[in-house]
Amino acid sequence: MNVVRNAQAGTLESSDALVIVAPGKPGSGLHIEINSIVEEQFGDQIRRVVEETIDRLGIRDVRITIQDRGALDYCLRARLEAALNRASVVD
Amino acid sequence: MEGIRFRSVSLSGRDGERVRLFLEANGLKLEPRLDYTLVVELDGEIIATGSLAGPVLKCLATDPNHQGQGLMEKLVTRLLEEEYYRGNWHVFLYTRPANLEIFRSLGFREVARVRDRVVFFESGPESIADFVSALREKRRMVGGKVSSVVVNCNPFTRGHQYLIERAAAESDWVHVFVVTEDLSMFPFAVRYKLVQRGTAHIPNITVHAGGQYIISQNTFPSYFTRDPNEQVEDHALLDVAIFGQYVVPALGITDRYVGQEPYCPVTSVYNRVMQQELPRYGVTVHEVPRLEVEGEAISASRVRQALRDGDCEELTKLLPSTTLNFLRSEEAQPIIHKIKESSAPH
Repeated sequence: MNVVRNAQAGTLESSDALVIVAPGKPGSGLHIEINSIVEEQFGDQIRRVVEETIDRLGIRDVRITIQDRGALDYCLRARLEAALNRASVVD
Repeated sequence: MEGIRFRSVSLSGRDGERVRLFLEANGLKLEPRLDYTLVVELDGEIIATGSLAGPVLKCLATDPNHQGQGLMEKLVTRLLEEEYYRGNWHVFLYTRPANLEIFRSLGFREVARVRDRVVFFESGPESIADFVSALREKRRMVGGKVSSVVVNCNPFTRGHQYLIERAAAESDWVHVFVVTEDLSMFPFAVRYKLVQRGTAHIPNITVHAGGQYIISQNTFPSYFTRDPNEQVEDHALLDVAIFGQYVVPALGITDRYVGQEPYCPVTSVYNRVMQQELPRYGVTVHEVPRLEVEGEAISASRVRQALRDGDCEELTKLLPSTTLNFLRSEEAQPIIHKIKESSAPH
């Protein structure tokens, strides 16, 4: 999968997350910005979910911005996958 | 949250008046030139509202009796969705410092602030850090006198050329920023090209696009409306704060050259604010008297008037050959036609 345009999924309401993905320059790798109300406790866990998802979908150069409002892992994963699907063309 | 309804409204008509009254009750003004307005109503009464003007979220307010219910989060989500739908992924917002925490928790990052009155935020994948790192790549010297000039050039006149030549003669390097916003008679691509052509003979110069942060519609909306109101000073302070905090260190700027402003009240406020604020960032401001022709300062508005009048003789006095040549080209004709039909200051 290849991210070719900007896309978003999710909301800023509590227990949700707003995910924005944008294409990265070739070779720039994964660029994650996480802003979370529970960053101290769950920042690493959120990062892990993002890295796993990116790996699984075989995406390389992408910028991901996450506004987390306390979303559970599966919610975050769903939002992220939805945004990536909207942003991508399948090779 | 029973009975709560989100609705986009048109500001012409009764809803416009209701939004204006609601904002005023919450210490805000209904600003001109809004493209989209949402209201949140409870049993028909407005309890929150927010608007868009290009990529900027504006006129956001929640009734104090309904705060802490997640209304602002819902409202901002919807406004952001509308921005994304319109293709604006880099979104800006002004707010009072009292609202700082709420917008931070919604993912907005502080760019700059004006005293204790206004905080300027941005959100989205792109940020001012990208702008700064792009600028750093264009840094030309370490040490020495590095000057800067910010120009709109609608169009490029002998006055602009004189100001830039003078800065170049007195400096080791000059960075010229051309205002990017496409709100002038001459589109950005043309203004930029004319600055490049008219300064091609200067060896120690870099011409930049001003971009999103140097006199843009986001940071300095009143520059384009030319309404001399109380916001002008805040906008000017914000523009200068961004310049001082980000542009100055990225390029190692030591001096800024500006043309004296005899006519426009907005620009003269801007010049005064620069004189007052830029020295804090180690920048010396040089206000250069305008180049005069026949006892009258050269200005782009004088050029546009001459274009309206079809006064070729006057144009030859005001413009360098590079701009004159452009005006004779095919590409210039629709622009000249548009100027003839308008009397706007821009």
